Amino acid sequence: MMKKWYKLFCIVIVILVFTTILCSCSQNKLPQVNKIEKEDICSPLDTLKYISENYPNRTRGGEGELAFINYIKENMETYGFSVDFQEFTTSNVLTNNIICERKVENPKGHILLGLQWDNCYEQFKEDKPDGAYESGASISVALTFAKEIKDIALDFDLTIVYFSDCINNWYGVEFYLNKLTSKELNDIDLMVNLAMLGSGDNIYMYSRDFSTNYNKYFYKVSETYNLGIKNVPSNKRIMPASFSENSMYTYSHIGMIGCNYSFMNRNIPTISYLSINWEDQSNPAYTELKGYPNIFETKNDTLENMINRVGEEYIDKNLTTVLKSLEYTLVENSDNLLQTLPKDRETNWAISNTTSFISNIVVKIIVIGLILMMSIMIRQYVRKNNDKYKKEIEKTKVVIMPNAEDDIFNEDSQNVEKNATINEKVDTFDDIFE
Amino acid sequence: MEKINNKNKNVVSIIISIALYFAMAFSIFPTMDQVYNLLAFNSDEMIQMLDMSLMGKTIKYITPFISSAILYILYNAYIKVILRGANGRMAPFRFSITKEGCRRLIDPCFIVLCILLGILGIIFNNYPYWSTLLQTPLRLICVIGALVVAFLRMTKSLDKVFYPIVLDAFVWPSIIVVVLI
Repeated sequence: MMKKWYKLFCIVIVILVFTTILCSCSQNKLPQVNKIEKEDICSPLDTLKYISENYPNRTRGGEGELAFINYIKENMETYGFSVDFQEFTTSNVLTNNIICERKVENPKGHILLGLQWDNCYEQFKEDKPDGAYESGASISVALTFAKEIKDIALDFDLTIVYFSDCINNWYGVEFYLNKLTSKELNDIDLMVNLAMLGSGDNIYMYSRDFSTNYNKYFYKVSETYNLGIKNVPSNKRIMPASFSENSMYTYSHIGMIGCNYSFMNRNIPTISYLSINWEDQSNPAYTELKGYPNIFETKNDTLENMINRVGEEYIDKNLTTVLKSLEYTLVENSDNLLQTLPKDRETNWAISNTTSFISNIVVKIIVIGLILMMSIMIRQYVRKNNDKYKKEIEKTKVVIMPNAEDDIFNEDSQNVEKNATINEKVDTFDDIFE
Repeated sequence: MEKINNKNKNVVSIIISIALYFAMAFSIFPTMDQVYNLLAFNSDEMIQMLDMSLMGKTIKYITPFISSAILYILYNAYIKVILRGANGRMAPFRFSITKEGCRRLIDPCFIVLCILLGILGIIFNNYPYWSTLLQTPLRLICVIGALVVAFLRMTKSLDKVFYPIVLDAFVWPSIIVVVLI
């Protein structure tokens, strides 16, 4: 008998090992990286300083919105983008997404760079936070990127969208996506998100909670150019709630805090740049800078505070790293990158929120059903062997021996009326299994 | 001699109870860690209060122990209720289970169960993607395993004829555990 089990166990192990080997062999090989080092990359820090100084009050629907969106429009048009404002109302205020497009003939794909442009200035008016970490740094990187590629011929359509009302569960992103047709949604090959940049300990590129080829390729480019972008840790410090009803995952974490979340939930490949210290556990959910409290969406989110913490040189290096990664991957290696993007967009049913809920309920119902079935079978068995049980009780008179080393069984326990006769007990036994 | 035996049994019971309490805290910790992470998105005041503060760390590490104290009380109540029900069902056969005996048999199974659930929690915190579908079945396997071990230990000193009776008496307690896990 033991030998049979041993054989079965060996067969299962061999099958598992072979399946694992086959699965690992079936993974696509990543394309090569074209290495063209650029010397004269602009620093986004000057733009960040300019934005923090001139547009600190860029809250959605606030006093500074119009001036800021016009500033973006002017600059993006200079860099060869056609710019449109997408107006919408949220929380009784009128605000705008800024959609900047650069289309090419016969595009090989469509990449969308998304980021938040508003901040929490109105919420903490007294402290005047300019939201440098929340959105200022991302805006400066996006503007510098657009400027850098101004004279470069692209072979894909590039859309840069500055989203508004991101502090309200990314309402601006949802509004933008809801206005797209299913074909337009399907045409987006990749969404690149910029969030929380400038003053974190490390830079990460998060795509999904499972391995994706395009994410690996982004890291491959980063390694080739020695950009020092860190791998996302396995412990992402999850929270037991999702930010949206249509969430793809039953949980959330800091990697999902950004415009990428809505795209991810529509099964569009996303990658998010964020500068934090994901490994450190000093603060709840995530730490931006080890040894400091977080400033994201707080009154302390100012460029001045960022400079006091890490210095201008550090911020400059941080933003330039992101900019280089964008340029080297999206522009210099766009052909190779597009090859790594998934061709089919079938929803991964295994991770959907609803599937998880239903499967959990179903599994529990099955187990409870099995227990109840077992109970019914036992009762039938006992009823069938009624006589045997009666005899057994009569034979032993004072029933079941607890020969117990642990003496867990009590003769004549409290539940058995002491004065009752054995026959009375046997009668009640019939009732019990009715 | 009997007194010494009773004393030893009491010491064992106390050790088991303490171990169960800590095992419960361990099993709760991964879940409480997730709840603690949620506080990061509560309010500006909350962030100022928790980040890099002793209070934040205290909340993180003390909450599982407070929760496990509540769970421990509920567990005691559950044992009392299931014993009453099970003993009622076994009464016609003129045997019942003492509370102390039951605790000595069931507690170690629950200690192992809590440790397994804690380990599963830590694994799934690291690989949350797989938790979506696998967490419930794996938890149920642990629960059923613990219940089977508890049943086998419980019926060790009992005549085989009465195994179905004990099994039937523990149907509802098992269903309650399955629903709650």
